[in-house]
Amino acid sequence: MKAEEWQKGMENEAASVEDVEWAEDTRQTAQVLRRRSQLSGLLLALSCAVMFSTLLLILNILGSRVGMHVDQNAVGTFIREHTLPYLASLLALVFLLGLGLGRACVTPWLAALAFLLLPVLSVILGTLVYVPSTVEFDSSLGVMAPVTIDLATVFWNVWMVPEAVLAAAFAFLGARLGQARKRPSPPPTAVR
Amino acid sequence: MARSPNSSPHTRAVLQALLAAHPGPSYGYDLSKATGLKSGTLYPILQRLHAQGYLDAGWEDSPHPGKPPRHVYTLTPEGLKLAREGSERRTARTLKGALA
Repeated sequence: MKAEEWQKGMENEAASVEDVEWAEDTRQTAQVLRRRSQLSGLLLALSCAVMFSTLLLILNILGSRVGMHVDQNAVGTFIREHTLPYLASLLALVFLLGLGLGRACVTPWLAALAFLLLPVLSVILGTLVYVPSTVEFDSSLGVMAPVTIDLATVFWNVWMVPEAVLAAAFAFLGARLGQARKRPSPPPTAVR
Repeated sequence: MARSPNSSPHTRAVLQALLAAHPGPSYGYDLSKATGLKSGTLYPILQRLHAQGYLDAGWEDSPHPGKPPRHVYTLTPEGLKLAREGSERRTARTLKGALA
């Protein structure tokens, strides 16, 4: 039974009794419980988005290390050689996280909202983490002197918006499916 | 020491009130009055018992025209077992205290 159904049950119970004081207390409690449930849902969804963002940062660093010839790690090599399967698996992961959130009674809109914030989370994480790497760039004038750069830095770019929208859509769909797969509630018909 | 789940006095009171009405259904208002618990304490307990599979929650049409359907609560077989165990433990403690 979803949080909304509990709230409806409490409101209906308040409307069914003559005790005005109890009814008012119950209505207020229903609202408080609903807000609490939404807040915990949002925190859970944000935690998932932060974990996903952290994974994304690690994968990006590994990919960058291969791209900048720092090393030839297997993950980074896979990412660079099989970009489409890599991106598809990331979306599948977002869908699975959405599914879990839906099963944990987080509304699809909250799940989507958390994943819409991915660009912000990525930039914040990139700012907090420092991964220095010494790289050499080839240029037309020959090999430049090695420079040390931070591979964790994430710069804003316009592609972040459609990526975040796509991730939010997958999280939304996953959460919808997760909610639907939960044990169905009995219909509001008579129990005699 | 960690307390066993569903052993708080409030949860035990709710289970006993549900047990007293069993196999009939209970309403939130009746449970509140039987246990003396306010809605802010009662409903989270009912939600938890339902999530743990101890309680069935359903809807019942109101016999009064214009009134919305009400939530009714009944103990599941697991809930019935839990409530009876709690009841037996309390009886045993009372007897032990009386004999001591």
